Amino acid sequence: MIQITYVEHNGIEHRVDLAIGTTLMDGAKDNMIPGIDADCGGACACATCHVFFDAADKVRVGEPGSQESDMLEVLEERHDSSRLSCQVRVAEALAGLVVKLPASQR
Amino acid sequence: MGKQTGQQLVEKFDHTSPEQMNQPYAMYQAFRSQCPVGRSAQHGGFHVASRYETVKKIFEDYSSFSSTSGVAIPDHPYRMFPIDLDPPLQAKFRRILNRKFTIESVATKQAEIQGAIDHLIDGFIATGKADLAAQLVRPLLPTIVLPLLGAPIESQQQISEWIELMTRGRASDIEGVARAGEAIAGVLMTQIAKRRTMPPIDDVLGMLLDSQIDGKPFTDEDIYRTLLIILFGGLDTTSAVMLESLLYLARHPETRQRLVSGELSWPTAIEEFIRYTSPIQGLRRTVTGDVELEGASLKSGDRILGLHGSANRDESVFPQADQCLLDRAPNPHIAFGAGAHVCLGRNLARLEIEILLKTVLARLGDYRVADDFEPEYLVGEARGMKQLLVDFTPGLKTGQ
Repeated sequence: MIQITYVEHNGIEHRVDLAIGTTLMDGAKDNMIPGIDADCGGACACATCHVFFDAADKVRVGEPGSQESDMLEVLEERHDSSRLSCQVRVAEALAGLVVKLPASQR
Repeated sequence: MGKQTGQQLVEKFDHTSPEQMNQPYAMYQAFRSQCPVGRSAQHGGFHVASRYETVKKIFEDYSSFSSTSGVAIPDHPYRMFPIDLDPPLQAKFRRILNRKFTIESVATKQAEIQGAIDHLIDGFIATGKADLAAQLVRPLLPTIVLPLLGAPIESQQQISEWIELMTRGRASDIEGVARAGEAIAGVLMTQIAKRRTMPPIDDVLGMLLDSQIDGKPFTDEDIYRTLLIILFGGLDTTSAVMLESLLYLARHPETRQRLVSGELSWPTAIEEFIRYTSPIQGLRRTVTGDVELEGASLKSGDRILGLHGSANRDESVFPQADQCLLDRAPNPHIAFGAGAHVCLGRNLARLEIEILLKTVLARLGDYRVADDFEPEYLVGEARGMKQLLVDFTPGLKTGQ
């Protein structure tokens, strides 16, 4: 388990423990964090589980794959660090990560 | 079923055949156990997938199984948006449409839905008998969905009839389907043109008139194709779940009591009614490149029908899958689809079903079906009960 903090668009924070190997989308859904709709259930096909990060975390989170990049094009408020949370696996390297949720998913 | 093997059954499989689809579940069971990806020789030939994991994969993997050549067999004469698109373009449509179908957004319709249900029940409650299909469920849904879309309410009856014909007639009455399609296009295109000259109204049509994709506004035809699929999706499928639930509750009076008393959770029960009904029995995708699927060789351009109706009865995922167990949890059914095209109206459907069932139990509390009642179904990709004749102790209209 590692600790992750989700921050809603209005600043409300949710600190949760996530199991290694799950995804940031699973973590948000399992902990009923508002702002992750995840309509397609994690198939990288709907862009409703968008999250972003502080610039300093961009490297450890990693870059989106090509299908994910196509889906990120769909977003109205894309950030330099934007990812789809269904595509980000929870790993030791992400311990303490702060995950930011966009206003457009609420 | 006789002695036919799963392979033989799949070859003859035709989801538009009332004979096969009135009671399809034993046939699906044979598909799953003997021929999980088979090939039907009907309608020009198509593959048929029946196991939960496979069906789910087909609908999630849009790069391998595309929607852009249509999602019906036989082909629907009209392309519709966004159901006949793949991501990422499909997702751009959905992001716009989703705003009108969130839990919060559909909750604002609660009083309207309740009022429409009460009004229809008032029409027959004094008589002590009714066809709940013709007198309650089918007339109800257009009164909710047409105003939500911005379609003209005065054409409600006609639009419902045309949609019914277009849904059911592709295999048997293709000319009738074309005529209905032209008629409905006429009404909707006129409405779209009229609304362009009017002040904005807060409905789906208004939102589409006001939205853009990649900087380009929607054409009248784009909007028409979008409204059309919401009509297809919003009327027939929800009716199917309502009627199947009502029949189940008629036959299980002890369950009614457990729902009314709160012993059973409504949301959990409703998910199970939706799984058990699976109003969309299957949808098509087109294979984009040669691929192996559970031992079957699929070629680029082949059509494949993923059977939601079978996936939702897969015993490896749903113990006692042929039983309607209203406290079933977890219930990862795919009756609303899976992947990018998951049902746009699912939150509205859940709300409509809950209000309808609660109201029937409150107002027609002792309704009964005849002991020898055998439901008959309208079939195709969508499957729904034709008629549900009940009697009950006559009651008073609301306000009396």
